[in-house]
Amino acid sequence: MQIIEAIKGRRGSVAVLIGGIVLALLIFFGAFIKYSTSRQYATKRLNRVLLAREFSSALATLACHHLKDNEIHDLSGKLVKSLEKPLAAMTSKAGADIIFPLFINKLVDRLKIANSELQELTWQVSWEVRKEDFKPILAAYPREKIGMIRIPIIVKYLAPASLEKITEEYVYTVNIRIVANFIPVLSKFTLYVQDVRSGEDEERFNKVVNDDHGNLIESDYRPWILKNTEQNGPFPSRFADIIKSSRGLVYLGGGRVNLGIARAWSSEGKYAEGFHLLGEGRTEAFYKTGDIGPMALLNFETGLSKTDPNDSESVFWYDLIKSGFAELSAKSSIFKLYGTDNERSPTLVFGDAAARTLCARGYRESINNYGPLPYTYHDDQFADFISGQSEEYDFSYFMSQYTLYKGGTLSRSKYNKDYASCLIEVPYNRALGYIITNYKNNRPLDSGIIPTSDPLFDFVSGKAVSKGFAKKIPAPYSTVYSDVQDLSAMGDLLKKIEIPGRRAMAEIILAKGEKLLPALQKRGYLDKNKLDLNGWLHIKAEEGIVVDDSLLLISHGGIILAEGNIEVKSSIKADGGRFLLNLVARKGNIIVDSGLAGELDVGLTAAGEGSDTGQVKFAGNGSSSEITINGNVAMRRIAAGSLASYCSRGVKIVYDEDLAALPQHSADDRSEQPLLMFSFEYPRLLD
Amino acid sequence: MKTTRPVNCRAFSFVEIMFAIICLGLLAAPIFNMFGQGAKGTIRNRNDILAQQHASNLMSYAFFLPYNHDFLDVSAPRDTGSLQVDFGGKTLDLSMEDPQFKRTIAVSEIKPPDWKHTYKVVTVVVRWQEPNGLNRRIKIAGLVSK
Repeated sequence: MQIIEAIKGRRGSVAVLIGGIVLALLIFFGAFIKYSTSRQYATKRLNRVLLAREFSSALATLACHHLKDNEIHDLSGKLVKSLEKPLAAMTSKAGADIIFPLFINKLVDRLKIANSELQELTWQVSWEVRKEDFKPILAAYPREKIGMIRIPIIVKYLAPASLEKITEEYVYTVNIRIVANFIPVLSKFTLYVQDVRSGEDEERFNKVVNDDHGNLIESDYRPWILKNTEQNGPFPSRFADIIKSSRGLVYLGGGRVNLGIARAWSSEGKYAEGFHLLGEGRTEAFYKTGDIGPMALLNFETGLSKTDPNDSESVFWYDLIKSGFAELSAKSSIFKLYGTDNERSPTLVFGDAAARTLCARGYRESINNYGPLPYTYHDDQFADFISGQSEEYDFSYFMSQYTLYKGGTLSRSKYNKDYASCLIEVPYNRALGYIITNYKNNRPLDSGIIPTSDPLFDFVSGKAVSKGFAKKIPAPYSTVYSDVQDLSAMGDLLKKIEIPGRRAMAEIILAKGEKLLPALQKRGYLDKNKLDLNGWLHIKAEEGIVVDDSLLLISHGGIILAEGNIEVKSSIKADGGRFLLNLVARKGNIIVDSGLAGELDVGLTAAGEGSDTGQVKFAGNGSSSEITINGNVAMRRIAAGSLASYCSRGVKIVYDEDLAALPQHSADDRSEQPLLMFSFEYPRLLD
Repeated sequence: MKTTRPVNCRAFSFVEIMFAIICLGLLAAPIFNMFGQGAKGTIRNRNDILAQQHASNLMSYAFFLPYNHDFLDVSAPRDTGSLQVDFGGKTLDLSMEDPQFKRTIAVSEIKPPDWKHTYKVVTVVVRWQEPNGLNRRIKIAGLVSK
């Protein structure tokens, strides 16, 4: 009874105490177990995250390859359309799911099996292009830009020991460089030669021997034929329209050169250039140059040829000038800068080039009093011709009229200088006047069809050199680099292209003895014989580089060799598209092998400054196989001291009109859009 | 009958304390057992994390290598428990200090037709045994491209 009373008197009990301790322990250990369990869960979850991340990395790699090798080659695809826009015109966000081809899906399935701890694994890959991820490279060409493509990847799998699905979202980025496959300004020219004389005289290119119809009759030299445009419409009558058209221009800098025009008498031979002349050099297209009293002084021009002694007409032209120009009249120029009669492709020729023609002169007063005025080489011959007794020529009537109306006696030297038939050099672009007026106006510049204020007027009239237009970069190309305005500044133009630099995709250094093509193969640019550069490569190779195996281009590409020569020994052709490989030898030459024939889809630029560098050399001679360059050719000098070895083979240069991309051009047509290249780097996980 | 204890004593008796200790012991035993389980879980966690680390180390190394490196030669699973590699001119020790872990790497190559890229699937497996005798493993697979 007392114990009960004592217990009743306590304020706690053993049971309460034990219960409290046990409860505390339960709470503590419960929390511990929960912590331990969640930590185990977190560890397992972490393990799966690691697996999912590796899996997503593999997906990103495959996605990058798929974009780089599949989708980017679909030039009408959404990805290309998103990337090729001018920066300002890009949409803020564009994207699409990536659908892998079957063989990649099979590869992904293998990875899924290898990552079997990720149960019920599903995935989704897409690409995303955001305007904010890009920045411009060159203001003149707004489609050129550097930025990145986002590759969002969603991976879903079962949570550890649960039916709950875990969704992981990763964003990978792939840096991309979008640049055009051209050299600003230089690429506007079908043929660019900074120093065309290259230490020789102005006659150096008159080497081609053709007959009266423009067909070759000697094979030592074959012409270079330029096809500056595919367009057959009327030639523009405004300077700006010519420049803005897609036709390639020509620059022959470094001093005056005389280029003999090939004759096209009575029929159009393969290399005939009659279309440079009034009446296309085939019909009797006389034009009046002055009067002496009632007597009209007339000119008739035809091209140059080697005389055929069995052809009376050929002999007729020859006899008129043989006393002074027998040798010069027999050869025409290597360069057919406007193409040929059969394939006309006129353009504007910058620099100081003159066209040489045979100018037959004569007088005409009436149907009875007319005749030719031949060149005379000796006073006795001159006296014979004016005596009226010569069986060869008789211009006694002309002399009598001269004395009558001009007074005094005409000396032989003044006769030869002012009135006799001869070879004349006229501005090369004079032909454009005839072409624009469709050969129907013997004084095109007086017709008003070309305004006198238009620079084209100066090119046609021959004043472009003295006015400085002939070596000034024409607008709008002059806006590309504000500090380079001189056409002859080839070195400056090449320095500005930022390769190596922002426009370069990668740099490759070839060790001594290392070959180009295996190196490209090793880096994934070349697969079998398919070249997929899609960007500008800068290559350093002490021994130069050689293209010694056929290449098929599946994208545009450019290779700039820092030093040494580029030798092209095998064909380079686009595999279906309008792709071009630009080869640039900064300090060396480009040598096209003599054994190579057919077509090359290349732009060739040699810019070396040494005495035997900076040349695009076409090895071989006039008997070598014909070769065609579908692109353009630019060089610092041409066949310096070696015209017979590197210029005699002849070449046809068909200008790739995409190269004439206009700067600051918002519309796709005539912009750099068709030349864009898209070079990808490797995917990186965006933190 | 008279007790010697004062009637107003408020402390526990010896019997009560003994009773309490016995009860506490009986009730706490399973709880301490749970603590042991938790400790084992911690060891498992540690092993999991270490195994992941060992696998990741090897996978990262594999990703840094050129495609044609000897280490990435196509092979069946091969032991890489003890591994010292030359990396950037320095010797890198990728060995696993704890002998309970066994690590293998297997490389297979895939050459999709009409595709210029070839791939190697690199699979790293780390195996170990838990203190309770349970065999464990983790497997990571990654892709290396040429």
